[in-house]
Amino acid sequence: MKVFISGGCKNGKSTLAESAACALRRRGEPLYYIATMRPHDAEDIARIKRHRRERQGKGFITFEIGTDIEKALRIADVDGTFLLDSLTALCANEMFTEHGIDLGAAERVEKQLEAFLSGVKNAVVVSDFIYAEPMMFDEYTDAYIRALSVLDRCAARVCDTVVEVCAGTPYIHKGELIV
Amino acid sequence: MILIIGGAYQGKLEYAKNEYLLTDGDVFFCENETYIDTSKHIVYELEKLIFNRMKSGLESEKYIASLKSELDGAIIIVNDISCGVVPIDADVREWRECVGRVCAMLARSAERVIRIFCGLPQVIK
Repeated sequence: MKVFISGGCKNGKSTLAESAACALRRRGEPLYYIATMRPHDAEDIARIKRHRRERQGKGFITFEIGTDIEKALRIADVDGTFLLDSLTALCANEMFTEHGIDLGAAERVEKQLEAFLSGVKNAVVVSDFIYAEPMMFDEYTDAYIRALSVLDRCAARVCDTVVEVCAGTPYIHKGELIV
Repeated sequence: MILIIGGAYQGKLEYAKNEYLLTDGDVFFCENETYIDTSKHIVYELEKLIFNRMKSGLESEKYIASLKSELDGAIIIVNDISCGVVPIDADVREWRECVGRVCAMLARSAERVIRIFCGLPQVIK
């Protein structure tokens, strides 16, 4: 069972995703948190600390995978439940690297994401809906928005359930949501 | 008339072509246009036409309203640009507001309004 969750910022996506992941997990099977964010400053570090604290006691094993999401298939038990939070950070890490900007990252990362989602038993994937404002950005930002949309549409296609969160309230676009 | 709305890069045109068995030849691309060719089945990215008209000093609400009967069987695709912070640029503000008013007007007379979210259709009317 795979669940894709998107929506605006700070409206309860991660909380819902954790509940969905916990609900999917069967007893005796591992529960993984795939942390994608690479801290760049004190604000990021504080945010990561807060998220860690919130996950404490829920039984998550945390893996930090900033790029190459297929790595999860090699280092974890694929019969477990994976919470991938978020495609937004994964996409940024893959596109904007220390070696430069990879404008063609979308199609490469889409293949990896599809392999990851097809290779695991249960997954909950979180992204951010960043597509509905007057788009007058520089070409890099625009390329990033397009790349994320490729990953989002891949996740929406592969996942059994697609949920949009608004004010903490899930709207189900596809399938069923169990929390 | 069918109005298809949604954020950028959500798969709106792909959905319209698949759902109504149409091809690129049936599409009027607004990219560089200021007047709609109503002989095409799909009008794509209407917000760009409105932007181009604004830049050329042409108004859009009355113009689009006047095409009501010609657009009767059409599929109109618009990028939702209504969210986010109010734009700092006055032209972009005016554009965004005009697109909003046109969308609301079209939705009122549309037999169906479909919002595309990550490639998935959500019929909102």
